[in-house]
Amino acid sequence: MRSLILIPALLLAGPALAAGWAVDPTQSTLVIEGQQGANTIRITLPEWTAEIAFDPQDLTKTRIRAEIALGALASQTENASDKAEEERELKGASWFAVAEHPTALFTATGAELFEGGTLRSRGTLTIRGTAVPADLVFTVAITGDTAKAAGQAAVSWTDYGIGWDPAQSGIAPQVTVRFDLTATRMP
Amino acid sequence: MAPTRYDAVAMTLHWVIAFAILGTFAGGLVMTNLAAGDPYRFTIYQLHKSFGLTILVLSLARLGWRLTHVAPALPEGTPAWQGVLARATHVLFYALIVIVPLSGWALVSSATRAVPTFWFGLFEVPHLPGLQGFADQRAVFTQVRDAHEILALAMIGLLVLHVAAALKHHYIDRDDVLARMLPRFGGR
Repeated sequence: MRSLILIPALLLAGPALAAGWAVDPTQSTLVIEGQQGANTIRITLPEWTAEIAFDPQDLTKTRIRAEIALGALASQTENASDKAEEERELKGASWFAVAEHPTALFTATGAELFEGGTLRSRGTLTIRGTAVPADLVFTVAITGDTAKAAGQAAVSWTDYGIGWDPAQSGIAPQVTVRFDLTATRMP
Repeated sequence: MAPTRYDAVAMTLHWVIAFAILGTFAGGLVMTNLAAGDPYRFTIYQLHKSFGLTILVLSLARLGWRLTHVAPALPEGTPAWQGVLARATHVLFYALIVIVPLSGWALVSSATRAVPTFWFGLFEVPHLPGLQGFADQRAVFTQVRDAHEILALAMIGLLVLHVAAALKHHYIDRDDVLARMLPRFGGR
């Protein structure tokens, strides 16, 4: 009975959907920050696309769907041979296996007010076919038709059954995925 | 007066360090020749580092024993040149069993991507201070690594010489030079 009511409600809600936002890739960044001992490893992900619906007046209508091309990852390590090794390993079978799983997928529905004026969107991050809950904590500032958003998600890569044993490699089991984006309101 | 045999402490340290050196050296050869991305390499590296640090501690204990005890005298009638050679070999050996693991620790501490050391997975051993933050860190690391490899090879060369000499004493000279470092199973 409930679903019967819901379907027309969704159809009616069509025009009232939250505004769509087009991400400007030239003004947006996505970075993974990990720790190995005292060393910070920074991996940038220059290739990703996102479909975003967001209305600051109604956070429940938030929709995020981002596809990240893992094969395009780039280590920011200065030393050339260390950088090459990190990129090769991360793309290889021990980590992301980009040959078989070229993209990671993040989806989230709804958002809520969180600590210190930030917003939180509870989503799911899928890597190598494994979906694990991931919370995105972010801020949004909208000026006219331009939105600037920045935020992060803590990701435990060990949950995906990938990577090297933290007790042997010294790589911290949790990394921070950070984004910074500029988007324009779609007509 | 010099004793005729090494005591239990010296003997235990000698043989434990001896086998640890052989195993750690073998591990070092294996781990530096692994294919890139081998899933076991971190484990082998951690084992190599754990054994290396163990050798360092045991070697310092051994050095302490040697400095506070008198070693058994050389067999009577040993030619002077052999005595000098034996003494030089031993001094060099005592130096290398400390310096080789120390240089390995320095290698780990100067690496551009310094992997933490976990002693047999039980606790983290800190890096040696003062080995990071160089303008060309990679060059510093490469030099320390080369030094560790050369010193380790020198120690293995010395070990071969040491074993050859011990066997020569035992089978050719038929003296007690080897026997006094061996436990007396069942008495004699």
